[in-house]
Amino acid sequence: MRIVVNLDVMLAKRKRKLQDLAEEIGITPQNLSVLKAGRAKAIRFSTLAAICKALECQPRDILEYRD
Amino acid sequence: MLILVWVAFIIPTGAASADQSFFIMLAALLKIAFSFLAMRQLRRFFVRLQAGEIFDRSGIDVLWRVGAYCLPYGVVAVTVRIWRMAESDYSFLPGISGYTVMVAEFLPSITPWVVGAVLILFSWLLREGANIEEENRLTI
Repeated sequence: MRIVVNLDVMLAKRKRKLQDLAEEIGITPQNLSVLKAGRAKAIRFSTLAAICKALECQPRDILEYRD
Repeated sequence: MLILVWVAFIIPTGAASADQSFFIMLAALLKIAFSFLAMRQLRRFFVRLQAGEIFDRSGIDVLWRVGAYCLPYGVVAVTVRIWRMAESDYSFLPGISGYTVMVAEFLPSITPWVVGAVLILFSWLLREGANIEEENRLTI
């Protein structure tokens, strides 16, 4: 029962690099890497919105609930 | 070791009966054991302090353990004091109230309780701080 972050999937679909996305949304690549690896404890709505805007997707494409 | 305990703790108390000797010896051994454990943790704490690593989780745990070992030390110390007060005759101290005797007897035994409680409280606060810091760090 956990929230899975599918950021790597979306990055691959959009053919984007983590570094570029980090630069575009204004957070450090280290923090984005923590999010991508699923080690983050929480995500701010502003960060999620920025990621969705940059990758042209919905929050459900980034986050998934697995039982 | 036992002779040392006997000389350091039992002879000065003027223990009379065999039961009293055994009890005081047992208490002294327990106090030595707990103080040894506390000192060992304290040594680790100072090593971490020197390396500037006291505010990480391991450093906080070491601090908590020092406090935790102080408490049973205090329990043994207070038990011995209560028992000794019950057995002793303070009539050779004219003009000294029972309250003064009680404070004089208990003050040294209460110190480990106070130190232990302060250390445990301090380590709990540090641990909460570390939790908040980690949560903030992992909030993206």
